[in-house]
Amino acid sequence: MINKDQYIPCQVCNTPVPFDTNQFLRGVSFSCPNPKCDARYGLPMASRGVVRDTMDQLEKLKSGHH
Amino acid sequence: MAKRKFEPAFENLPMDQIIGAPLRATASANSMMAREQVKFLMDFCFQKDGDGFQPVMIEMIMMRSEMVPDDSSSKVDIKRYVSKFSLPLLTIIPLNTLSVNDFEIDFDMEITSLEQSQQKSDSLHEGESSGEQTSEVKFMGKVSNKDQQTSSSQYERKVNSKLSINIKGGQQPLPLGLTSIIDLFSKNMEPIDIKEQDSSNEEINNKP
Repeated sequence: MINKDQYIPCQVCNTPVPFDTNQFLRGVSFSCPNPKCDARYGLPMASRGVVRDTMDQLEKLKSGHH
Repeated sequence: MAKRKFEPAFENLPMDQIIGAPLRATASANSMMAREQVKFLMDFCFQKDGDGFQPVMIEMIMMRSEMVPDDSSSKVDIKRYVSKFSLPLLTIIPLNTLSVNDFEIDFDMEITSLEQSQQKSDSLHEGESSGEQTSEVKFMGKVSNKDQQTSSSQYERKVNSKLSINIKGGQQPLPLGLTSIIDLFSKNMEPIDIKEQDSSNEEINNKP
């Protein structure tokens, strides 16, 4: 499920681009919702390690096992 | 070794303490959750840099295409661009603020004694007494249960006091300060065009 509260502003048209971090980690890219803009955003492999580690820590914090 | 049964002294507890203790426990739980979240934020999304902290940055890529007219064949070519930009890790981690947003204490109280005290009320000016007598009544009691069964024998009566506490937690909006930081970071990204698409970007699907 896409968290509507999470977005990055599109670098081309400044429209908020909603995304889901877990989908980013699976290699999915998110496109700008502006129909006149075709920019897509993705997380390269090099950045996935640090994001995955932080997400794991967040999950641990939420479940109380930290 | 004989086991000793714990029987709390339920008699003659001040009423304000019976109500106040669960409230204090809830406030303490809320504060503990907030502390843990701040600790997480500082440990994983920021790194110490001298006297201050710097956000941990990650790299992201932006892909876009542009239609370029081809003069020689009067056709239109689609040129694809890949740009990379740095983004604070904080902006893509789905942080949320969890806290208690509904709290209910439900108990019946049996008043076991009353304490009345009289004192002279203080004047607004320091060190002076207004001379007026005020009385304060303090209820002492015990938590009792509606369903409490009283046995015929006084000695067999069970301590059956019950304090029912119903706590509901939920996701709260992020604090304004944190939202402002995320907004500020997000709006200060500068993409840089990559001349050649490197292999690290090949595994990105174009699903949504």
